[in-house]
Amino acid sequence: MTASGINRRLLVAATVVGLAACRRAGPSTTQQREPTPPERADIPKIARQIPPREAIAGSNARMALLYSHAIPGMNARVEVREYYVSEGAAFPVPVASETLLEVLGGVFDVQAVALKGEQLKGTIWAVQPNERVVVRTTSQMAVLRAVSIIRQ
Amino acid sequence: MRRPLALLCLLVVASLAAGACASNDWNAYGYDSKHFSKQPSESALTPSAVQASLHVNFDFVIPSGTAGGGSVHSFTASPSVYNNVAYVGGLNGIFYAIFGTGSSKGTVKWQYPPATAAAADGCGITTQPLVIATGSGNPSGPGISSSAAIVSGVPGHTRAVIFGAPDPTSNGGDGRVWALDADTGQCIWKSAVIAPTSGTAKIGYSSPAIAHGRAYIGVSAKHPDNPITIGHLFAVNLADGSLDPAFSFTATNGPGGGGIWSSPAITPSGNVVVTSGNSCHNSIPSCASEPSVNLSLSMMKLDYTNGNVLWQLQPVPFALDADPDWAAPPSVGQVSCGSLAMSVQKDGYVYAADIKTGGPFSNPACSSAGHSLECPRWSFPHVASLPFTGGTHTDTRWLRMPAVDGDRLYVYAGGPALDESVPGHPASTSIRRMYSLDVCAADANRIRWILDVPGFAPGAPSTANGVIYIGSDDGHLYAYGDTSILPPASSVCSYPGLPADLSCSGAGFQPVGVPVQLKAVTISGSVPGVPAISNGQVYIATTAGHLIGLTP
Repeated sequence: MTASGINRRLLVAATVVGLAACRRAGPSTTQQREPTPPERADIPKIARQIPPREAIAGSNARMALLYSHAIPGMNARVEVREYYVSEGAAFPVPVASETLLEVLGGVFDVQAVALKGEQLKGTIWAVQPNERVVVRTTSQMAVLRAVSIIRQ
Repeated sequence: MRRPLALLCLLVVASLAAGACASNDWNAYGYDSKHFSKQPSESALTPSAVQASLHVNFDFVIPSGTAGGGSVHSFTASPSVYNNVAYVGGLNGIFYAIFGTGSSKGTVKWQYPPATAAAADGCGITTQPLVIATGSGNPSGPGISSSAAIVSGVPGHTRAVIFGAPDPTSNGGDGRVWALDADTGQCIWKSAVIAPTSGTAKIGYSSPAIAHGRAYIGVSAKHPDNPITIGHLFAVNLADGSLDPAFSFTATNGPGGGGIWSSPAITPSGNVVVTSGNSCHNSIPSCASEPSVNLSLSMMKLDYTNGNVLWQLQPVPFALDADPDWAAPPSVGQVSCGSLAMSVQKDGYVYAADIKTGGPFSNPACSSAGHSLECPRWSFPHVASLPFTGGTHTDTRWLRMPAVDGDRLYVYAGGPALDESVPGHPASTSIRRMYSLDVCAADANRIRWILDVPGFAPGAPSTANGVIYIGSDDGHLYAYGDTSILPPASSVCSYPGLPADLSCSGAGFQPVGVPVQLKAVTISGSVPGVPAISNGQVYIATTAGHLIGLTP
């Protein structure tokens, strides 16, 4: 056999060895590439109605009433609402009674008696009945929770 | 003597051939279309070398003035690296190829459009930057924020650079996919328009995923959520830039929703996994009810031939959409317990879904009326039931792509504090809190370690040899050692921020490690993207317009 013939055989052998090493290096030989396990059967199905988010006319906000509960002994009821406010125009938050407001997400520029400026998730403050509270979302969307005691 | 020499040659060639299985280039966003952001072929960047001497090797800066193209001299895209040349486009509308080594390191190999040109090239460009005239879309404009893929398979060109960008010669910046010759910067083709300026979409951060001779890329809102756009994914033929008419993905039949802010990934058998943005709920006042086709807020596996949905994971239902876009791209591939698609949604929850063979798949346990949805393999934190029926799911800015090394996932996430609380103590979450998760462990053992990366909103991680690289917005590139290679620096409760008067285990949590910081190198600007790792060098692109190479 000529030297060039030997070289050709060596080259072919090297390629075969290299490709074999390549195949061994990949995980595909040790497991199915995309195994399909059985569907999970351990997830409970929870049927709970998600409160509707009603558009608030003339604003860029929606509101959901999450909870309302009468407290006869106080002649009052407690209500939990959430406001979802899109970026843009200022939104005057309806405050008819003593209310705790909490920023749940996003960024609000707040104008209230006790609080002014940009507020992030976790900010909680109290407002008085009929106090003027205006929020403007400076992120794309921000969420405000209002817990109110409403006297009958 | 000829036989031993020949045998030696055989071994050397075989070794080289085996080494070629894993590229030491960094050919795409996240290394390749799996998005693991791991360099598997790295020898110089050892933990000890990084700790001893990682430093700035070169620092290219976008020139000031008109030489720097458009007015925003900044990088939000991530660099790709081929043959020691870094490729990245800037918000100034200029795409750069920068030498990473040798006497010319840190200098321009070529730029596109060129600084000077006698006439328009085959793509109709002379020297005008690739910017959109109006509607830049977050920090994803006005120029290029799509990270490039370096590909073979474009006829007549050894390698081509593929990315999305506005076309300044077309209606003030219609969005197209571009192919440039990697060696010369010559424009090979530009695709048909996939994001016309007359519409509401643009090519934002979406970077092309390459498979089957096609580039898969998505479009997102031109003005984020104002109005929201309809998400589309396209398949562009690499040979000539034509759109594959057989592939079609439209996220909704409603007025808007499902924008593709992320970059699609390719599964081991070649299908496409992608994440999608908000629905029209809250974003379009007229959108009162859920459209019958709603592929928003989802991670999905798509048939690569036609775009059909093979499974859809949609944890946050339409009614609870308060802006938790799924903006982080998925990481997709094989781990020791199967093949998973993993990503974090903007509300901070991490999901891992079995990729599975074939489809379509759905599971009634995770579906709701009118939907055929899949369950995840796991979520972090553990969610007992999906889709959610409560909670606040909003834009909390968890949007960085994770990195994956073996069964180790590195991901910024909300963690246990998203749905657990210690009575009397508010939950503690942070968008700079990185978790290392064991993707194949039981839920109770999911967390490997926790790291609060310095800065406010650090960039996406990448890894090689157990070292994790993170560019932050506090002016540093950080390197940390995974706890599999170096003992942790300290420990922290798996519920960070637990008050001192409560014991971690007593409150139902467990102590976990904090990885050791190997190096903090001062840089100019912040790094929202992924550090690329190639041939002993870490490449980062910063918002201050720097492309920096770091070596030991």
